[in-house]
Amino acid sequence: MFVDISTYVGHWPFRNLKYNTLEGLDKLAQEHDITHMVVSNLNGFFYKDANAANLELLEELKNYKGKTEFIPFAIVNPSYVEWEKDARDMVAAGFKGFELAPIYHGYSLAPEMLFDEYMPKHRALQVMNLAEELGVPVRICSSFENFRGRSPRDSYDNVTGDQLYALLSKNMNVPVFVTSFSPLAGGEKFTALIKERKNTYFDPTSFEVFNSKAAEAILNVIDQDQLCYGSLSPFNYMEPTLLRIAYAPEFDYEAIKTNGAKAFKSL
Amino acid sequence: MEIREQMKLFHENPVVGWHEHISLYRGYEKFDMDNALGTLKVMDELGIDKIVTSIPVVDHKRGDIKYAIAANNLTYEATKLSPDRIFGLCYVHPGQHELALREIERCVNELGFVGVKLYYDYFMDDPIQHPIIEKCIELDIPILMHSMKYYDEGNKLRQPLTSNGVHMANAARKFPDATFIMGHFTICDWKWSIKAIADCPNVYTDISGSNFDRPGIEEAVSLLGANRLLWGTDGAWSAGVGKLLGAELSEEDKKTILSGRDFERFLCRKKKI
Repeated sequence: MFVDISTYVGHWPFRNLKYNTLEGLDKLAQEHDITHMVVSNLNGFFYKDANAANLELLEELKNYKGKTEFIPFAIVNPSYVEWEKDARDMVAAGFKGFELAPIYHGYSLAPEMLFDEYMPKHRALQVMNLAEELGVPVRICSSFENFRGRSPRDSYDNVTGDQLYALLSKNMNVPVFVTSFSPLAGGEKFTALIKERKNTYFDPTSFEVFNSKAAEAILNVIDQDQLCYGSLSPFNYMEPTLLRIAYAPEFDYEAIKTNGAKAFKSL
Repeated sequence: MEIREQMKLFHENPVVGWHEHISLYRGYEKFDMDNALGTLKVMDELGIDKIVTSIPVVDHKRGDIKYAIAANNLTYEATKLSPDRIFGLCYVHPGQHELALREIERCVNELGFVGVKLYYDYFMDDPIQHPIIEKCIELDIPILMHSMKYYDEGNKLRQPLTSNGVHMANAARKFPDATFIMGHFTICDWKWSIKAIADCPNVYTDISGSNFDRPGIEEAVSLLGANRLLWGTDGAWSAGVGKLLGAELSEEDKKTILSGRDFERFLCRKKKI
């Protein structure tokens, strides 16, 4: 078994993507003996009603005849009407987790002051609590493109360690995949949290291991079990992240290939 | 295919990294031996035969020739560690005028350096660069320019004079006998960069940098041809190696990029000194 926890289908409005279908991802997976891919539909980051993208992915899955086993995550926008009903329906329809897109859906992972109701709300936490009730994990991608080259029409924000801390510290039970984010980049509070919160998982898209002490430093912050393989396909070539887990002597390559599956088994 | 199996491409073919740095982060007075030995270890591990290294002066000291000289002397220390594997580029600030030209001559004729490294001190097509370009034509050496097409406000403030493909193309058209390398095209808006230089055969580019957007390498080969791409990492070893492994190119094109075929003559010169 070899699990990639960070893949997407669909379109990115600022750049044309190749292999952004289930068949396309399947081809990439076959080249590297990847057996499972956690997948969401990028279109849901940009539709007002994110659930329409989940329905698109469901349709695509029905017609898919490839070899790779896809683990679909539903994109949930807790600032949109009837989001909770949609989220429940998607789990009933076969989705295995939720994906949050705070930057593109315009809410924070931290509690917010919503002036229309004069009281703080924590919308992201409501999704986490629903995930706990339904027994599914959550995925949060910090960024899809390096900020320097993003389109002037894109957001220049990334999900930060402070925001992640504000959410993850309020619900310690739901497994969370934090992708495209180095465990070393979250700040002191976040680092202290993920040492305790063993069901927080990371991928190798955001750190270098050659002529670097990053691998050792990362294992001072998280356990080997918390490092999964994730490629951020189809945005990225897969080989750089494969090199990082295969060549760093500190990492257990074979274990990292399957750690994504352990996250589901821990539910 | 297992990633270690894919790595045969590097271990079984000549590999030259044209955009590397040794001893970059410890000031201009002390050579960072740990970093240098670490680099040699990584080269062995990844099958990299040769690298071309430089130390640009990136802080407030960059206008003072003594720091450029100090930085170049550190690069020379690096080349002495393994003369057949480590080659130097001479950093100068164009505002140092005649002193910069003399430093280029010193580095090439006395230290055996194989080219010039320019940073974001001025755009590549700024007339202040003309004497440096002319000197490089005279010495028959390439110019590696730190380049990227960024959009973010932070870089606009920190490095407003960073060149992108348009600046490189302008300079190349004015000086068709010069040889330019547009550094790390793969970072930021890589499509902008390669489209801008497509019609300028004397502008090459390297694939270094920490970003590994698919399908940047294939599109660059399609627009420029594999012979105009040089391999390198800029210290992002896994990204530099991995993006070439992952690119859907012919084996021949990959070997062309890895070897830097058109640039072999620059490395040969060092042996004559």
